[in-house]
Amino acid sequence: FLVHSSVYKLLSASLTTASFSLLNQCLKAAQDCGLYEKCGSLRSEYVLACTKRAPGSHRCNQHKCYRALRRFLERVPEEYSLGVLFCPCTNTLCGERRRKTIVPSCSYQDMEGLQPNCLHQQSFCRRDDLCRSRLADFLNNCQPSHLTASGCLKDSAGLCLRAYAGLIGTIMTPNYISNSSADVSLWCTCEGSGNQWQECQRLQRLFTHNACLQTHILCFSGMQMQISNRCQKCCY
Amino acid sequence: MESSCVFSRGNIVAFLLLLEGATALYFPQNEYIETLYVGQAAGTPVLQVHAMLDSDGERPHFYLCSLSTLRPSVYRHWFNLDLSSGLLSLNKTLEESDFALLYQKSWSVKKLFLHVMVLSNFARKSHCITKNSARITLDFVNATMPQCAQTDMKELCFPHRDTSNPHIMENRFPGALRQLRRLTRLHVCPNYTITYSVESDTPAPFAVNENSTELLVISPLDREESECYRLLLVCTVRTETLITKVETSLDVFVNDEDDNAPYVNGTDTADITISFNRTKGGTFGALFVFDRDLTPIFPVDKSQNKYEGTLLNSDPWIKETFDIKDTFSEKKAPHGGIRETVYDYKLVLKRNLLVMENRTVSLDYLVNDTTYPDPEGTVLLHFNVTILPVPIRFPNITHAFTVSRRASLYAKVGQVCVDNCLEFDGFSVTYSLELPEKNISVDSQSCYSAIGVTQASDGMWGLLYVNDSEALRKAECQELQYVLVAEEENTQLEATTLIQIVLEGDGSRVGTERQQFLSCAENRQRGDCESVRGLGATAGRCQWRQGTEKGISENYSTCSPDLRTCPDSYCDAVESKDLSICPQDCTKEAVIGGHERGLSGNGVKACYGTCYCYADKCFCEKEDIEEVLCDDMCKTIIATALLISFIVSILLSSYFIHRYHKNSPKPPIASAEMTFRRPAQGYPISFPANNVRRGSQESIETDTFKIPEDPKWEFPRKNLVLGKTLGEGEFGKVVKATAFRLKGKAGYTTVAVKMLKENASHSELRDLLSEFTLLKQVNHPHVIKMYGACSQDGPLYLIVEYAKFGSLRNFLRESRKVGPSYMGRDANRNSSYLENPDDRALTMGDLISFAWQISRGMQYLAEMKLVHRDLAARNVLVAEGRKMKISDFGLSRDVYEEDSYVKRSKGRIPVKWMAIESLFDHIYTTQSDVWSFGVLLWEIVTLGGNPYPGIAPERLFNLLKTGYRMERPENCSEEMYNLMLRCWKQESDKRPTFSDISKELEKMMVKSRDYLDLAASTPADALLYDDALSEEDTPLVDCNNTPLPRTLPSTWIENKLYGMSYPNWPEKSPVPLNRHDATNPVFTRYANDSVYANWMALPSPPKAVDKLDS
Repeated sequence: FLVHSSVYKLLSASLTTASFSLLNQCLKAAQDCGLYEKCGSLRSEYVLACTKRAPGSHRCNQHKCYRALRRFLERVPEEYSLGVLFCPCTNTLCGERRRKTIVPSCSYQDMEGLQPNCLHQQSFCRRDDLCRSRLADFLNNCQPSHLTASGCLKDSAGLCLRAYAGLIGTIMTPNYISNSSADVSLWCTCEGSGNQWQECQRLQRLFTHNACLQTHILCFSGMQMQISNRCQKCCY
Repeated sequence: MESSCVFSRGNIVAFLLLLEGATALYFPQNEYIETLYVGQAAGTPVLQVHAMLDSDGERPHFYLCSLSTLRPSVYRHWFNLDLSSGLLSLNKTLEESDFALLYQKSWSVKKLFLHVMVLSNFARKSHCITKNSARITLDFVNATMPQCAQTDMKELCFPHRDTSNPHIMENRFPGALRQLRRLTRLHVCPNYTITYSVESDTPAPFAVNENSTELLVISPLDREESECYRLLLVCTVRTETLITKVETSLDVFVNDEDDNAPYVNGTDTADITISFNRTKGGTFGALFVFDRDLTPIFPVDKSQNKYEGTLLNSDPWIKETFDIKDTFSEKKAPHGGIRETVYDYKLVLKRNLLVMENRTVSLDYLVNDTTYPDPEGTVLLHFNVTILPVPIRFPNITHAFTVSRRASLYAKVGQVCVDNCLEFDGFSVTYSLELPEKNISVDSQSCYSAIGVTQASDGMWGLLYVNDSEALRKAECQELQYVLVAEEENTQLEATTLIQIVLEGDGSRVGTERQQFLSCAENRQRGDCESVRGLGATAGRCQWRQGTEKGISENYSTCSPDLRTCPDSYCDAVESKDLSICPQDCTKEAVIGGHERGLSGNGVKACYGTCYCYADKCFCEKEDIEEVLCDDMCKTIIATALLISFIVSILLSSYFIHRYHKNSPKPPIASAEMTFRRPAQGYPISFPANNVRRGSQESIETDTFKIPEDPKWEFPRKNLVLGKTLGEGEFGKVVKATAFRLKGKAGYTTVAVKMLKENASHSELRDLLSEFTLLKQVNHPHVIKMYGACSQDGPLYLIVEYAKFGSLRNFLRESRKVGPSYMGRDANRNSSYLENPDDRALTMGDLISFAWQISRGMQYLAEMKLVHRDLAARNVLVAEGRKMKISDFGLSRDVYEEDSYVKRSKGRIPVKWMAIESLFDHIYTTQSDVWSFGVLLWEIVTLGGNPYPGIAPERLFNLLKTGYRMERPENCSEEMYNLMLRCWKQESDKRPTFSDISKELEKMMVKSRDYLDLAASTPADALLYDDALSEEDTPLVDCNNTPLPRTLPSTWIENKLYGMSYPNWPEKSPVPLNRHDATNPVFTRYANDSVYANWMALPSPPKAVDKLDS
């Protein structure tokens, strides 16, 4: 919690509403990461791992990419890693950079473009120990609820974002879907779910229509002007 | 019980169930949630579970069960589940001690989990059958149930967290779905009357049983009609005074079963013609079969709506050749948005069909919905396939080609193809040339060797090319007639046609050249190119393409045998015969220079500047093309302009000159030390330890004073206007100047001019001349460029590039001062940051980039076999845009004077930059330059600091010999310091080469910079982002007015900006030295820092060397 308070103080100190439209915040976050040795080197590592072609194929080595992403998110202090993931954006240039932060062409979507079934993905995830625990963490901490002020069932601000970041680099990696909004989603569809369609939809909506998650993402990046009172309750 | 149809279906289903043990009774919802409080009495109800009938006649029996993996929980016996009604009630009153019993972490709420299963008969089992079991989650609160007054209406009516929606199977029986009343609150407010009702926008077959407050479904549901019912549950609470209505919505979903047969909407027959495309794997036709049921792909074992298809024909030929492939997709019906399935059937070829194949077959494919209960779940599809033979024949046109007699070997003549060859797929045709059937004389026969034919890589075209250029030139060969034979590979079908080759032109002037054909691509300039008889030149000579684009473009300048086909990013069959024909299309080797590769890594698709290739290796470089043409044209244009507006232009030019002289607010950049040096030798030299000196290597005689004019470089003196002095040395100086119409560029250009002072002697003039000759040869973006010279009628002036910021050393030192207080034009700091990137503060990435640029320049010099010998920060100039320019290369044979080692009056040796072998053995190589580069790195990282601070140059010998090297400067990264140490290795071959150094610096740049603003690319971001738009250059220092104390861990750069202004290195040596020379520490700061040793007072170096060598 100490970490998070410092993070938020840092951000509120260094960002003012006036400077928003002028600066590319994601670029700044990336530069700050570059300044800090550990962040910069681990970031380069995962970028290289995710862009290098596996020998004998056009595709990257997804396994290595995942591993490098997880290392980055685990080892780099949160003010840098989460700062790069959740930087706020007001234009498409910044949004595009943010979307490409985790190298989605390797870690998020297949080259073929086919989306697997969400329930399928979830069952694969459940069979892997790491993914299962990360998914459970996410389901636990980012459960939305319309009864609380922050939109979350649990009023633990940083935990939801940390849980979300924990999913990155697993089978169920979520990412921003466009460069003009902060909407996130899994790379899967509900086609072919048969009678379990509602479960599938529910899983999808945990990412696409999750008020708790959205609030936290926007709060982190400091877009106080949009969600002021909710942020104050959850973010300090 | 409805129609008999339903009944019979039910029977069949029951039959299947008995066999498979599938659904049977089922729970509409798998999860029930309720809250329990301390003090709830025994016997009170908690909740009620329901099960839906799957077949008529079933009666549900509810049991509490436990999951097989867990032990039965302690609290299980607190509850009692009624067998037939499904009512869960308490067996005992809940106490606080019960709460404490449970081993869970929370103090306020603990969760109890129960599992319920339903069977159609009595059973004694206590393990849950997962298929029909539901989970009950009870939140046990460590408090008593709130009284009526504290309970709000919503809590009375509906459960707190209702997350599960009921799923009802379609085509089943009506029944009770769930208990609407909250049974735990049954007696909380006894005075209230609570009733429920259900409403919905669309007609929905749901109702509420008034007596038992259960939600009922009153008729069988059909998923194909509606997948989901959105119900509105209304709870009416009647108190004495008030009627309150509380509403909540409930979605009831309908589960699908396979109750629809597949059907064809439209046609069930496809007519397919196979003609030219008969390759294995080709798909033809598409027939659609619809099914209103869902086809789930998850979970994998779910068997619903599984289709099987069988080919009904028994003909083995058909079975070997054809296959039917199906793909299904889910789509939503246009009316109502109900999901359904579409299957798409296509005919697939399993093998390549022969060209002769000519038959008609009819395939019948039976599609069977295996999970559909009736045997009528089938659809028959028909494919009527007509296979047409492919005639191999030539079109009825005369093939005539002309070839110039001057054409070289491998020149392209033309291409031929059989009829419709473009559409062929699945088979290929080979071409060959044959002589016509007539009797031909032996002489003529030799003519026929002139043309050859080869297959194009796609297998369809035949490319004609010149096979023997000698034969072309024979006078007796005029018209050649060939028979072109096309043969299909599998069936050996042949077709022939006549080809006429007409030789034209005059081959006699070519003469009896027996030389080898050269590659056109070797030539770099138009003149050379067009005079060469290159391989593949159709017209006899190579053709030059002049590119006009800047940067890396596809329209690059190059020399090619035939511009129509080379370069075209495609390496065709003729070009593949010999890599020298068109390496621009075919090279597989690495390309040096800015370029973009073509398809599958072959060839050069785009190039920076001019592309030329030696054998297979290609280079992309910008050539300094003299626009001779433009000169003439420009001259005429300017002459006419002058005629028209003569006076106006004179006025303008004098006005500009005035402005140039007045507009220099910057202080003179001092210490752009440019002591003159003799240029280096063209090869590494080793001077013997004794005093034998080599004679002058220059081609210029010492006696002549007349400098031969070089028209390429000569610049008229009158067009040069000298300005203020930029720097001075011993016998020479550098002044800023403006040149008019320099190198064809209109207007004035700011340049720097190197010249001798009045007191210069003849040997200095010789040195300057040598520098002149040397500078003519070098051309690299990071090496100072010479534009011209004024050698006639006056003192020798060398016109070189003007570097705006002076020497790198000064630049770095100046940048130490940059901070919030320092802003020359401080009107609007924000805008100045964004507009003028040169005023930005220096970042670590900038420094690495400087080092990288210098290393690239040195790499170039190393490739040119030039040794710099005085590489240091004072000899690197910084030009506009912060580009590094190496200058003053070719050091000093000042080290040795005419006949002695002892230097005369002044004359300094940059001891602290010299490699160890240069100090002792006077060996100067590229690797000793690497040592100097290491020291230069140190200077950069310390922002212009003095190397070996506090150490007198004479002590350096001993220290270096014993292995002492400078320490890592403050806040220098490990890798950078490592690189420095490697540059300072004792053995010169262990030091990295400049190309190794460049690569390492590139890697470092990845880590410290995030986007590129120079030609240097940072791999990480180039790979990630291809922003074509430029992004704002955000300085590290926050752009706002007050510099905020940065809470990010600050790097040393921030320290420099906000903290200390100069590094705290001791300038004075801790050991008092008796210095006889003029290098007094007091003067160190201002003069050029006692980096040089004055050799006057020392014992002669040979002795020093001998002593140390032992």
